Amino acid sequence: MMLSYLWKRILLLIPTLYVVITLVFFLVHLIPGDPVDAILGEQARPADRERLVHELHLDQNLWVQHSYFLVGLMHGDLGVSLYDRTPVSQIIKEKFWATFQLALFAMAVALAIALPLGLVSALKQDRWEDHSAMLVALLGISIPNFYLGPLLILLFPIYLGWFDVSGKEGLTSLILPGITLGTALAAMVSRMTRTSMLEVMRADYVRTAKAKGLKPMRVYLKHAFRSALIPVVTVIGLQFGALLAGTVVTEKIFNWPGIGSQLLEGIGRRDYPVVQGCVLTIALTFMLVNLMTDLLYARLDPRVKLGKG
Amino acid sequence: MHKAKTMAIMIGVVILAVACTPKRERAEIVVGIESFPSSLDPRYPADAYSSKVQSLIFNGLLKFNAKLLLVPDLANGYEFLSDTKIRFHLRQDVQFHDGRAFTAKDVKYTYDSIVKPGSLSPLAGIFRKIANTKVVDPFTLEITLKESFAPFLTALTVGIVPEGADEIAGPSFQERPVGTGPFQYGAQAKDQWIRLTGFPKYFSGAPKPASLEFQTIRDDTTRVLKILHGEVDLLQNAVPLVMAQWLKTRGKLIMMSEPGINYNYLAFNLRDPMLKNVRVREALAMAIDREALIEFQLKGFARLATGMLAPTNEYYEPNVSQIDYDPQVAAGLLDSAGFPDPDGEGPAKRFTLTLKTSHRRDRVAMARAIARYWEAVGVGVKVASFEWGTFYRDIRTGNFQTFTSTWVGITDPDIYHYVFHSGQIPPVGANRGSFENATVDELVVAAREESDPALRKKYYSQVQKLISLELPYVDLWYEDNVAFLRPEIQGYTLRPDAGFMGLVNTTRGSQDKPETESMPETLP
Repeated sequence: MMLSYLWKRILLLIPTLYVVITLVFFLVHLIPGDPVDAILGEQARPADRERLVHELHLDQNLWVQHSYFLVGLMHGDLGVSLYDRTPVSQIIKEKFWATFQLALFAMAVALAIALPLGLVSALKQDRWEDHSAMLVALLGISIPNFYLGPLLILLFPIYLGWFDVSGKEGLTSLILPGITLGTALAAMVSRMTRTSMLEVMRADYVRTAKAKGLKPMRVYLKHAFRSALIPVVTVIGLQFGALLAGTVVTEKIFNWPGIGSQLLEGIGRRDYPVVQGCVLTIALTFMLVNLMTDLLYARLDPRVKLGKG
Repeated sequence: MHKAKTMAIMIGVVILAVACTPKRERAEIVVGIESFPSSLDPRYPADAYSSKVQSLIFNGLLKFNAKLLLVPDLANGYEFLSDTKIRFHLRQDVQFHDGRAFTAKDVKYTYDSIVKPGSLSPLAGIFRKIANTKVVDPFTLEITLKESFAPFLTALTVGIVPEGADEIAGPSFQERPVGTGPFQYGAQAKDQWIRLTGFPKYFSGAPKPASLEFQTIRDDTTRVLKILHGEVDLLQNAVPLVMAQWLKTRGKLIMMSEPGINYNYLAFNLRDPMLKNVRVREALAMAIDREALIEFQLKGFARLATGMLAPTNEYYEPNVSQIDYDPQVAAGLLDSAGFPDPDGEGPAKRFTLTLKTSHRRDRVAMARAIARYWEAVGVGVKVASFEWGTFYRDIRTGNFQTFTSTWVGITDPDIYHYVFHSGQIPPVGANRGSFENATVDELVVAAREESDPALRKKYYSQVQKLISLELPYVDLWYEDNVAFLRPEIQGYTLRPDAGFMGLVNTTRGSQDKPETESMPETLP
């Protein structure tokens, strides 16, 4: 049952991926400018330009180029960077790991902030604890990363002398980008936790538990919180994708050598294979995380039966 | 909560993995740069940072000295045997970083490899002017050109690679460059940093710093914060001018600034029915208060330009026609050119232009400021800013009315051929505004065929004067080179071309020395 559901979902990934690849392929080729300018520089002779355009297949019909790409992809070949001839798969292997580490750490930061915050504000609904927690959440979601990042750098490395400004060396280098990236998610998750917790606290079984004389705190933490987490898990799963996309800005600020900065660089150089590879990776991760969320959902909530309707 | 445990373990593993990335030992001098050099092979000088880093690892037969004069480097000297034949005498005390001795064979190999079939070197064009490179003896070399071509010597600043560089198995030469320069290649993390170490056997003495690192920091703010925090020691032309002002007043860093040669200009498309009229171009040039723009937009870090060549250039011609800011006269010129303002102060415009620029914030701000000056004389302006690739594509193909941009590092006046000869109109060359003038055509061709510097100078003086009358470009200004250094860094000097050769004599002193004592600060 579970397995056949899994297979179905995995098979469904294929058409979705195809659509993503095709869309991205045509979109990047629609951007004006071409990689030849980036490679040959200002003083290129027209003959050299033409030769390179030909070598890179850029003079062929887009659909033909697209089919080259697809055929390569089926052989597990993402092509080579037009800019420096490095295999795209190698670039992605290196860069994705860095982004994944950052995203996962940001997630941990977000959860560590959000769950207690959400819980407290639900338990102390409409009291000052609730209001201040939600104010923090509001700030978290309103401050854009490109502003929060430099602000954190100013506060910690510059004024307090803690950590390095940027780069990826040693454990501490994760902290500032992790917080920057995790704050928005923390804000969202804490609100979600609060709402969901409030709802569950009014449920019949919680009332029953309390009526049977269990201590309210124990009821909330042991019984209510667990149920309240179910919708939260969905949000986290969906937001993980957003987190990956959000790394583009954060990685630039913190010089984090991840897939986000690679994507930015690739677009600037019109390095089509690199852009396609990066987007493909991000899309695939997004889909896999979604799938995992659905599976996790079933584990957390026995009422959810996968594969039925 | 079994899942929570799994999750916690996963996060733990990831954190450990990062923790295991060892912290690199700090290089003696760390330089922050905006983008990663695309190539360390001197035969592929694709971007400015590539050339600047390459020049620390390699030497050419000739080089530009600190005054931008062409002087011998690996050559001891040279003589013209005829208009097309040059004999070079090479230094005999030069070693490559791998210990091999440098000889004329390496030079021949380098030049031949630039033009070999399939070469993607941007230098291939100029090196195809060579008919033959002949090794006379290990330290004598003769180059025969297909035709007399004066700017050719400039090309010989290209770094020499050891013979057989491309035939070595394993990582490509570009990933493990071997040269004769003051620094040898150490290591790199692509798109992040490049390490160089001092070459003790460098022929003019070992460089002072034991190691250098060039670090790519793409974000403007982060770059500034990194030098404030001391992770970076030097930022050269890599601080937005708005922040430069702020950094200067903070007092902690040392600022150096000197006139540079990067030429900012505004180009007209002469195919445009309005802009083909020289009076319109003159009026538009006259309507811009360049001095105010330098003072307020550029915070004083620029000098008024009179042409593509900066005053430091040997071929600079000071007596060209200058256009001073005068909006009244400009308006009168537009009236007489047949573009009266339909309603004076009212909203209707004489005509509307599009001013294209790249999407860099300072560029856009500048374009808007220029637009306001034009609007003040009744010309409507639409400022259109594009991401670099798109912008470059448009100007390269001549798809614009007006645009602003910069020529970086002009040394040889032959640039006038590339930019204003009628044979260089897109798609071929850089005559992007389709300027056509028979006299200019003749002069720039004569100048490149003339090897007598005095005559060349005469030709280029005439060219500069003519261009200043015809106004295919509005000369805006030459950008100053502005560097910020940590107080403990000593001995760095700026060059007009903003190269990094000054690093050879730079050292890191102790931090408690008086901060600005030995530090030159030349402010406008």
